[in-house]
Amino acid sequence: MNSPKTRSAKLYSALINLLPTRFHIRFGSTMESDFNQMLADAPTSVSRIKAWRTVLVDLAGTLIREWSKEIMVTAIEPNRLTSHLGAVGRDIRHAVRSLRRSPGYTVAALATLTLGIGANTAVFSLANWALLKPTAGVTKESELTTVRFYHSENKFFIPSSHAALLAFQEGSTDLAKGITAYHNLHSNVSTGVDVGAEQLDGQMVTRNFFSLLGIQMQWGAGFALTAPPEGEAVAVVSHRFWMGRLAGDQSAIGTDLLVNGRPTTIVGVAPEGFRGPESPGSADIWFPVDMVSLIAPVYRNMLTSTGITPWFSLIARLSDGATMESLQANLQSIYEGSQESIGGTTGFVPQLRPGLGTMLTVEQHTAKMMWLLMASVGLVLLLACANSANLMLARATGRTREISVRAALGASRLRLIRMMLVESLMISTAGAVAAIILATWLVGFFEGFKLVSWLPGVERVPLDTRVLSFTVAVASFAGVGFGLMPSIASSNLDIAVSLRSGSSGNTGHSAIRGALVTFQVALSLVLVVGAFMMARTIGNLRAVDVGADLKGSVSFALDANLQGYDETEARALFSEVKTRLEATPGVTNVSRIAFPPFGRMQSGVRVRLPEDAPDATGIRADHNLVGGGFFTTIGAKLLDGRDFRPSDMPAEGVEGGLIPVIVNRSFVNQHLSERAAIGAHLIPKYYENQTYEIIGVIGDALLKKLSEDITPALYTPVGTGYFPMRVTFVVAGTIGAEQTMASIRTVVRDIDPMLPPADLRILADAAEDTISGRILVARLSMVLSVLALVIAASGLYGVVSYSVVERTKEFGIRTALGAEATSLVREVLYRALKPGAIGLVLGVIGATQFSRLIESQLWGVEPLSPGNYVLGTSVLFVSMIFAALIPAIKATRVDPVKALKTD
Amino acid sequence: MYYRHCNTTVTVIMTKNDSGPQGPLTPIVFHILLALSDGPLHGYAIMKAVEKQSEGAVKTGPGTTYGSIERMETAGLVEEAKSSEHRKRAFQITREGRLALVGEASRIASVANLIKSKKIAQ
Repeated sequence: MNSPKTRSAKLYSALINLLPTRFHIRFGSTMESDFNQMLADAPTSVSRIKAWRTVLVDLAGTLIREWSKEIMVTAIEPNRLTSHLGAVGRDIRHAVRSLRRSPGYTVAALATLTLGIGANTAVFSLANWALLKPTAGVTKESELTTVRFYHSENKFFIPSSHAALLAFQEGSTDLAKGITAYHNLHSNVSTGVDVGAEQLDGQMVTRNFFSLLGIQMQWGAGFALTAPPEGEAVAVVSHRFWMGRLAGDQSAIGTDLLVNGRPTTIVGVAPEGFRGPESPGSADIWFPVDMVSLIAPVYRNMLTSTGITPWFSLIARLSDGATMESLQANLQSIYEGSQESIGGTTGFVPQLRPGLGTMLTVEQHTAKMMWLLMASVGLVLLLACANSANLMLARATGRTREISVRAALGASRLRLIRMMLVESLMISTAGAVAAIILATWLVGFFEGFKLVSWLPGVERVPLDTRVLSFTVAVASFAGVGFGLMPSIASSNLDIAVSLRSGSSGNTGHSAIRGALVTFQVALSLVLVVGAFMMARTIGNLRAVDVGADLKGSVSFALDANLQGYDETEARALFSEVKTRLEATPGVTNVSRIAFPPFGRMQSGVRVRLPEDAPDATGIRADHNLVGGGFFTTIGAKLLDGRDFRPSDMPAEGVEGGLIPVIVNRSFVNQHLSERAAIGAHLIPKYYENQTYEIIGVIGDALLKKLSEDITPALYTPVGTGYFPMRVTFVVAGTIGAEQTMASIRTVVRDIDPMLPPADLRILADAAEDTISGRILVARLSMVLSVLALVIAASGLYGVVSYSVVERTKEFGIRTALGAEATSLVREVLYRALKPGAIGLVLGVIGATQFSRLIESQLWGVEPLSPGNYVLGTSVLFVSMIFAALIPAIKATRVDPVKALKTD
Repeated sequence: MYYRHCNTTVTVIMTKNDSGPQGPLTPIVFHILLALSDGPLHGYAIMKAVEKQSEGAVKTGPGTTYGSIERMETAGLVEEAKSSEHRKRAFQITREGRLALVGEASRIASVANLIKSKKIAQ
């Protein structure tokens, strides 16, 4: 009669099972025979692929058409809606009973989904915290827009000058409710003369700053909108500072702080969570910009700034009815119209971005990382769905008789699907509740990690309404995702056959379940290979030779500018700090550097050899100004020549002449390989009256991000060129970092109690912070890949166990007939591993694509190098064998007598 | 139960719902009618004939073909014919179907004439 079905025919037959019963009963077998005819008419593999393509497109269209027809017909039936609602109630009751009857399935599905949804919720809450969450305290953020100047040719942004700010404020009153501006500025703040000062991140803001952002003060009145004629310095402090330094005392309003040594009255406490308009913010204190000459006189020229100056970041609030485009055009015309008075330069255009948003740098640092994590965790959710779908299919196969009886008694297919969908949605809802509990615990894992090395670490990540809505969406997706396919597949049965045999009347199930295992194995391989790459990246970064001995070294910064020191005073201050520290027991070396090691600021220089033409491109090198003994202090190896001596540091700023410099090995290897480095001369570009003479060569010390490459570097002595008023001291000692830090605090306070040592930190930690974000991503991907592995292995275990139970009778007979245990195990394993093996192949392909996605996060790892793939595949293969072996061994223990007695 | 709502599905065949079988037919319906005008055919033969007579412009798979046939059956344009072949259902055109086909053909012809008279194309 029927010739044995080919694999293609089986697959097609499984697929058309998804059609509505009415259509399937009438046309199913005809469609199958047409399909076979189509394949028979396609002799070559190319034409077969074409035939498959036609058929799949056709099937997708037919599924949509026929199911919409089915649903439409059901929905417009009179009185059907009320009966639907009643039926859903019955379905829920039935689902509860039925889930209670099979606790094994319920617990397994619930656990998988909880893990999947929980991991998604936790990672999303981190992304939400870092990138998406609205700024605390700000009202109607959707009306706000940031304004920056964009140079379209050179593709960079700059903030605005004060002149441009005033012109914009004046000219945009029709379209904007107002424009405010802020400038980030550190301040040395102390709560009293006897208390040491600390350096805080602060902002100089226009007086309308808080009112325009719609921020209500927690306490106090905030800034008056017009500056009083006789200025007394005022400040608004953050809730964090108020709680931490002022003990949350309301009476602190109206009292004085010492800011950069000057008394400043507190006029307000910002609402909890507000740390400035940038996100994540770190500001703790705000001052009106008109008081800059009182608070930080050295920066008073910000008020007279014109042209291209890096002073003010602008925020505008749109008037009702105004659009970003209209405001943009308005600002553009103001800028062009008053170009002379504000010193505007052609090539720049004012550019608006909606909302307050994140700092551009943070966005660049973090966004990619977050989307990568979201993608990984999304894969875990898909895995969890596939696993639950598999469990549900297994269960549906076991419930064939129940479903057939219901169908025979007249339950429509839609009704059966709804019944099963209600069950899956109930599990995913319960999973969502458990996932939120899990996520509140998981987010603790993120605390303290620095997504960006120079910003505060991740705080307690909140699970706000946005996160909860995300969880609900994910749970609904999961519920429908894992429930729909099995319910459609299992509601389509040959009632007569299944009622007679009690087994599945549906041949498509095992094919679908095999495909699900393939899918799971492939997804987990992608994640496992990704995790291996990440782990290697971290290993590589940790093993980076920084070319220095950071053990016990501590760095801190002193900003003489803010305290109002002039250059002579600053020189005296710095040298006294150095002398006093050197005299401290246990401190071995003290030196200075202009741009702190592993910090945010980096500087570069371009030099040429004396024989090169003056307009030659020259040599690009990292540049820093260092004090005497710097390289000894950080333990960098001196390969040739000598370190700087105090005599190399000019007492007054030197404008021209011969300047001693030290270069690193890369500089010598790349540019001076053909001559003696020591004594070689270099001419700095733009400072042709100076000549650098190399006096020393050090080993390659990496003092920037650990993930950056070592490049040629050149060091000049502090005091040549210009004298940095803010310097970083590096202190090496034998008494342990903590003790050294305590000594530093004492020494500096003794010299000037109002001048706090800023950014006081252990150098090794500063180095580690530069890769903290990557470490977080790597650890998370490792956790996710273990999760994926467990889910995939349990999925395979479930499928194999089920197929063993299903074939108990067959195994019994074969054992009775003398089949050997090993042959049974081999057969079960072979059947089990086949879909897994296909999954491995697909997984390797998927992983190669995934590795491209994560390439920017890798370091020293070739995305396509086979090692990680081999390792990942092996781990997965071994887990698969273990997962399949347990049920396979069970198959050999089937008691023939008992097996034959079972139904 | 389903057939009580058959009139809601008729509209799918016609691109205008109030013009009856005289209105324009969708390409697939027109081609199926045209294919069946020579005599009863089973599904696969219909697909082949449609592809051939439209010179490959209209390609259908089994699902689309049977879906269309079912709707055309409801509208009374085709009916199931007795088939000698096992498992294969054959369909034939009804009187209404023929009328619709002729109507559609003359509509196309008049459109073609119109285009010719306006010298848009030869």
